[in-house]
Amino acid sequence: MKEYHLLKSSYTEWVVRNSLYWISSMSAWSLEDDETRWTVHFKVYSEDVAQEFSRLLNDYCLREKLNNKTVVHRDAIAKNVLSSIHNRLKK
Amino acid sequence: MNLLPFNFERLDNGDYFLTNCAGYFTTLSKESLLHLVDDDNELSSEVLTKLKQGFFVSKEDSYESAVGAISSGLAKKISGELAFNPCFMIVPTLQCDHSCKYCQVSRAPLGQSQFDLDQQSIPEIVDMIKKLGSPPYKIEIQGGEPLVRFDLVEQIHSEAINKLGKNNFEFVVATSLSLLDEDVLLWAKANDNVCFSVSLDGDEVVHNSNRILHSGNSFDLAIRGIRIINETLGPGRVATVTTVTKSLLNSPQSIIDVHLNLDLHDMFVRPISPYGFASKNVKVEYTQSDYEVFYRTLWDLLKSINSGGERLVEHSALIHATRILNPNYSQYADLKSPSGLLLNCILFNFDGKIFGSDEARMLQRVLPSVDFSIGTIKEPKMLVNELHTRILQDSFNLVHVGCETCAFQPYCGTDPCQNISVQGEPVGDKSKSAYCGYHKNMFKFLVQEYLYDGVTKNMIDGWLND
Repeated sequence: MKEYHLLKSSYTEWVVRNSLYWISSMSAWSLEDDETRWTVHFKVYSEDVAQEFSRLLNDYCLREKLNNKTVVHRDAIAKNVLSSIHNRLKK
Repeated sequence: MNLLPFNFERLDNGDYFLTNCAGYFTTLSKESLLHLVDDDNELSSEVLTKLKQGFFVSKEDSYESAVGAISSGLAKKISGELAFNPCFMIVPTLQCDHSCKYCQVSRAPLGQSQFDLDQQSIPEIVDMIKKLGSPPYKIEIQGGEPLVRFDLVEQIHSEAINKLGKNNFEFVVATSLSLLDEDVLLWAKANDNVCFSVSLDGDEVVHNSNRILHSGNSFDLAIRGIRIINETLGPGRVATVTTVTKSLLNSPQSIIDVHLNLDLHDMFVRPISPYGFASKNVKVEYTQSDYEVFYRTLWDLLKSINSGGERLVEHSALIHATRILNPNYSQYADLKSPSGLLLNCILFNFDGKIFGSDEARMLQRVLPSVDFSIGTIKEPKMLVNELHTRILQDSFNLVHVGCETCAFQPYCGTDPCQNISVQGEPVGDKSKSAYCGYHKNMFKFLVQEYLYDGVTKNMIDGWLND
């Protein structure tokens, strides 16, 4: 069992949980938190798990930034798509 | 400049593969990706042009058209994948002369006629095919070993000629060829819409270690059958499917040799399925990375053969590549979102039940307490079984956890039946899904090969132009 700490000011819950989702195939884990930090308990902890978790955290931070910047456009695309499919089905 | 939504995946060379939901793709260096998301005006005009062309960014004055292009691409893709265009599978019998290690649907020993289709139901099946489909209909005969009841196969074909029209359907018989005889050959010769699909798992040792035939040598009979079909009926009447088992992992060359020795220039290679009976009978055979190593070696051999002037197409790679290069391609039922269940397959089982896919009939045998059918030939009930509505609703990978942030999501599909079989529910945890692992690896491998290796690009382009 290994404890891994992450600051809440650096990593949101979305980033931490999405990263852990893909770690499930490498190790069982559990997540706890307090006011300032996330604590992850890894059942199996190796260099591979550490590297993969670090890569996932970085990628999901970037995805989160990208999502925040494009959320309005995602909504616009979703509305257009639904309207287009609705029109096709009405024909 | 507007940043538009996209997903990304890191490639082995450090570059990033970017896709948007309509399936447009491009690559960027890590540095450029960081500049792009940080919007720090450091991108070169060349990179910006590439990103604009793929609708990853847009200028203010072209924002509406960029969003319109992505929306229209996605709407077209979803509409295409929702189209009802089924292959009609018929199981005339579960009787089989083989007892294969990884048999996916179970089988019944020879002589057990209670596992045969009632021949009185054949006219009703063909009537239903005519009602549900449109020409050219695709009819696939599955088993068991269908040739155990060749009389039923002939009757289905004859009924289809009468009701659908001789030139309006393809007729594929999935068989081991162990029972191929003069009668079957004469029938196939007289009907040029008949083709055979045969499992060919490797050389004699590999094939026979999987395909147990107590009455003879399964490999010899398959090879003999393929040769006779090629000689008697001409090329293009027999196709092979290779299921990779542990015994083939170390000898990819052998499966290529077997095909070329038979003058077969098309192969379809796939990993063993974790479905029902196959997973019960075969312990975990190999890991995803074992398969990757095997496939990379196979790929190098294919490149060498094809660049040497001999054509040998590997169709699972071609299907994955086609999905990337043409996101509206939706002909392959196993790689669709929503799932191809019902939309791409209607299966008439030997016991009169109808299923939405071959996998659904496997599930029925594994989980008999749940009704996976869509009724019976006598009483179809497409809309009554809410299980199918639920499965279809839950099979849009665009909103699946694990898929929503995946760069290969626009090209990938879902397999709710496999998820039910292995994980007990239709969506599944992608981090533990064999389906996700296999397809994601195939897409990533092919993207890297196609975009960064000229030999692969020429080979795939050649296959696509055939």
